[in-house]
Amino acid sequence: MDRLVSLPAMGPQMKGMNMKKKFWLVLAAALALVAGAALPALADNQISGRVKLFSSLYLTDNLNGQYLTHKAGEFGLRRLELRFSLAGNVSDKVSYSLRADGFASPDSLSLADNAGLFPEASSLGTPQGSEPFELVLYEASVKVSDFLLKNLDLTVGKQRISWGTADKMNVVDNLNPVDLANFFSFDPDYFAERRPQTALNLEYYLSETTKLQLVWLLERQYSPLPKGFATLLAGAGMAGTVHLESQEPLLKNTSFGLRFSTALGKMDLGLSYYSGNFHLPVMLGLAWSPTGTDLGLYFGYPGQQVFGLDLAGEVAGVGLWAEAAYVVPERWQGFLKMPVIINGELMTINQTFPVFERGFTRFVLGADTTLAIGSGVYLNVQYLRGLFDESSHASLYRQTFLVQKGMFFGELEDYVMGRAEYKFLRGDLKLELSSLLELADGKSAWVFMPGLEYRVSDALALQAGTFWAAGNETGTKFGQFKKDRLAYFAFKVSF
Amino acid sequence: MNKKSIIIGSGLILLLLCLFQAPLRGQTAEEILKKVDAAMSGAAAAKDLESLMTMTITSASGGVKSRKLRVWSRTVPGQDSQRLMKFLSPADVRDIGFLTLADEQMYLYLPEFRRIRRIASNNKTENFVGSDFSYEDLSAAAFSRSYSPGLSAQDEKTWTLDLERKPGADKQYKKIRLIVSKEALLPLRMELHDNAGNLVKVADQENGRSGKYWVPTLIRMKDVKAGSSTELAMSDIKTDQGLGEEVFSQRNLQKRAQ
Repeated sequence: MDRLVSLPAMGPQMKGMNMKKKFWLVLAAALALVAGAALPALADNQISGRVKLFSSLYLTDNLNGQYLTHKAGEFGLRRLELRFSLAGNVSDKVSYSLRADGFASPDSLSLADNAGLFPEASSLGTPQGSEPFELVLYEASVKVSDFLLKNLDLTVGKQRISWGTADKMNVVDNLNPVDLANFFSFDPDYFAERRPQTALNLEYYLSETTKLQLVWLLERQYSPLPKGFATLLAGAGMAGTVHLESQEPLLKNTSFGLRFSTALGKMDLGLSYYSGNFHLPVMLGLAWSPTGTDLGLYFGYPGQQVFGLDLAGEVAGVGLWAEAAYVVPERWQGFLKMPVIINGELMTINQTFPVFERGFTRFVLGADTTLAIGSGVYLNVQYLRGLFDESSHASLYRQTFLVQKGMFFGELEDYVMGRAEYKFLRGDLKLELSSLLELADGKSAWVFMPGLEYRVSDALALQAGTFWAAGNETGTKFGQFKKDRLAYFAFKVSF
Repeated sequence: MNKKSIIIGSGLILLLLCLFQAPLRGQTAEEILKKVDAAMSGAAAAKDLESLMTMTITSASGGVKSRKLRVWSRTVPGQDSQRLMKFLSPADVRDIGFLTLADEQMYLYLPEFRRIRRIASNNKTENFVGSDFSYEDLSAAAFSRSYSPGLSAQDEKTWTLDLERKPGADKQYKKIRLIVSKEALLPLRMELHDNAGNLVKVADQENGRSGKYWVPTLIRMKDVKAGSSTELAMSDIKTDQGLGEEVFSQRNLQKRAQ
């Protein structure tokens, strides 16, 4: 218990994060300056980016929702994004790449509670209240080819390292945590998107298709959570103080990954290992004060080792892939501390139990093909066991905290996902229907996400679509969004 | 000179003429197609080739889009040619890469997702990045492995071959009419027919000299039904630079092209 600190005590950590942010901004500025100074000398520096306006509108009332409350016709997330990328080759063997993302109105859940009562600006004109804006150094890395050895590449910096062969639902892709903050934006660009991490990435190419990769992540991996996450916990009937197990910045607390990939005939094969931590918080315990008036909710990010296998190939022209990840969680103890009156005497129950009893497996199987109808209908189907937030907990833990299938951070569930695409006008107009079927202990939920994208020109694309959930509202994860049906549109300009 | 000598002499001349003409008259469709394969991606082709490619896509309504790519290819004796294509512009497709290691081993690199995707055979019929070329059109597999040819016509400058897909061959087009330049031994025109036998695309090709090799310098693919077309114009062509297998690797597929 003495390892636990309450959230308000995270001041120094937050300060550290600000320092880190400042460091990255300084690094970005320095890189930009270096690149800028070198621009006349090096012809191969390229600036690119995009401006995107995303806006969603609720189609249904949800006046007492667990996660979201709104009326039909009310705007959901409205956000303007600016992506700025700079990349170039410093020499034949050294290249760099950085991406900074700026977001206006960046509240992913529209909880808009950070603005003042009035749209006030500071005396220096900093428009905190009137024009909220967030800047993120999304990626910044330098790559050195043939580093020390021929065929050995080193990439240093904040980077996305993609592992696995499945479509988006990669169970072995564990070096970069899922961006859960944007998961609920219902913007398809951010569906199960993974955030770049600061790492040293060594890739040794044994042949044109065989690679050995070693990645050292300088810090633990944490999924960004939706703004108002603690409010959501309170909304779930667990009002209290949230405490988080702190992680000391020790060398032993850093993460690493190892992967071997190759092609065997018509099949690509990957074997991987990740030693790090759960990317999403795991509830460890509940503790009431002796009087029973105050409740403490304790969370942490246990360690995990993940042994992965991924395959991709084809049978009879149909693309097939499979991924399996065997997760070995760190043995953590959960606890329940609550006062009870026994024979008129106030006593405290102090119960402990394992959070995880044994390892568990997430896996995904998928196939894709193009049907010869018109210009070709692309079909993609996947069966997934275990979404990124789900685990297999110890039975006593499940009973105590009522953890089950059909809830976020719950037990492993089964999903069937499908996607169909049809392109018109030489690909300028794309119709897409994505769907997800959630199967949770006799209950089920559907999500339909029809959408269309029209490329007006190379630089300009318009997108529109809907998020439409159906099925059991209780006992399923996605059925809870039945009253949060929405339509969205996006306007993207690339430069 | 007596009558007998005249007859024997004439016979010898005729025999010589026949022997001299045999290589041309007797060339079978199979032999011609093998020569085409050799000139495209075999022994008679450049060992390797690098070029800058301008892709111009013209929609049915006349809208024009332009893309620039850098392309590397390499012949591998007894196997399919290898090819790597990297987009240089515009910004929304920059660094997209396409690698063909064999007819059944194609990879697409999507920089947005930092991901290499293997392309299954059934998906090779998809259009390549909005162009009128499918992934299969851009592969460099030999015709003779998947098609049986028939010589349907010839003139002073060209042969016309009708290729029929071999049973079991995993190819997009059932029938191809190939008009081949006798000089370059490269296609001048390809008429591509779908499984129902309908003409779906026509590719017109211009060939030019690069050193001692004939190489395609311009290919114009027209989608007959949609009315759109895509032109690939090659420039800055370099041959026999000694490009090794490391160029045609997943490592290079992810690298930023210069």
